Amino acid sequence: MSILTKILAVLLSLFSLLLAGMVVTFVGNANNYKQSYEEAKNLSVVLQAELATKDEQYNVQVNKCTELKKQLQLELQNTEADKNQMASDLRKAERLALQYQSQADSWKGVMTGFEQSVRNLQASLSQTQEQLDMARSQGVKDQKELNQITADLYEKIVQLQSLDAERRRLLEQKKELESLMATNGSPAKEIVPITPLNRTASPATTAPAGTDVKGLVIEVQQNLITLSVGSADGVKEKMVFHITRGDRFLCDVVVTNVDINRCAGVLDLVQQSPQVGDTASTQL
Amino acid sequence: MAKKTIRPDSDVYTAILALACLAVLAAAVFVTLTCINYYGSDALLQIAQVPK
Repeated sequence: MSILTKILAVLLSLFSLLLAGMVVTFVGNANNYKQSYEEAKNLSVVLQAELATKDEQYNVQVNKCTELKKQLQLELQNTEADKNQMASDLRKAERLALQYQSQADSWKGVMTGFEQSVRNLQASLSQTQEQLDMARSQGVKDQKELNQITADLYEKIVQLQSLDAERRRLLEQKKELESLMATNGSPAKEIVPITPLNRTASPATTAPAGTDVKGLVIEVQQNLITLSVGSADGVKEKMVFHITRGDRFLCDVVVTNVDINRCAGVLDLVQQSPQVGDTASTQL
Repeated sequence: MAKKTIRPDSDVYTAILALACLAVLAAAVFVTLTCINYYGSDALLQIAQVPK
C-alpha cells in the first residue's frame, strides 16, 4: 500500500467521523415540525371554536345593543316630548307669573288707593262722629230745654185752669149776689161756690203722669244702660223706657237709679242689643 | 500463474476504515430512526419528492 493510499484512508475515515458527528448533531437538534404543526393545528381549531363562540356572543351582544338602542331611542323620544311639554308648560307658567305679577302690582296700586280712601273716610268719619256728638249734646240740651218748657207749660196750664176755676167761682158768686139783690132784703147767707177751689198745682220740675219722656242712650254696660234723662225730666224709679232705633224696637229699660240729669236701668225684653245714641221714650 | 494471497499491509488502517464505516452506518441509522420518529415511516419514501 502506498503512502498516498494510507493518507487518503486516514483522511476519509476522519472526514466520515466528522460528517457523521455533524449529521447526528444536526438531526438531534432539529425541531419536530410535524408535532409543531399538529399543535398549531389543534390550537387553530380551538381558536376557531373560541372565535365562533365569541362571534355568537358578539352577535347576541349586538342584538342586545340594537334592542337597547331602540329602547333608548324610544325613551329619548319620550323624554324629548316630555321636555318639549315641560318647556311649553314652563313658558305658560312664566306668562301666568308675569300676568299675576302685573295683577298683583295693579292690586297693590288699588290697595294703596283704597288705603288712602279708607284713611280719608276714617278722617271724615271722625269728623262726622264729632259733629254727631256735638249734635247729640245739643239734642240733649234741647231735650232738657223742651222738658223744662213743657213743665213750665203744664204749670201755666194748671195756673190757667186754677184761674179759670177762680173766675167761674167769682162769676157764680156774682150771680148769687145779683140774685140776692133782686130778692130785696133777704138775709145774706154764706155763698158756697159750686166750683171747688183747686190749689193742688204740681211742681214745675215734675212732668205730669201720662206725658212722654224722651232721651238718648249715653252708655251701655252689658245689662246696665244709662239714659240722658233724670229726675229733672220727671223720671222715677221703676219707670219703663222703650229703646228704639228708627222704627225698630230694641228692648225695654226698667229704671233702677235716678240722678238729676241722667238715670240708669236694667234691660228687659231684649230683642237686640242697644247702642249709644238709640232713642229712649216712655211711650212708643 | 501463481495464486497471489491478498493481505492488508497493516491492521491499523483496516481498523480505521472499519471504525469510519461503523460511524457512518450509526449516523445513518440514527437519522433514519429520528425521521421515522418525527414524521412516520412513509416520510422516508417522500423525502426525495418535490413538495407540492
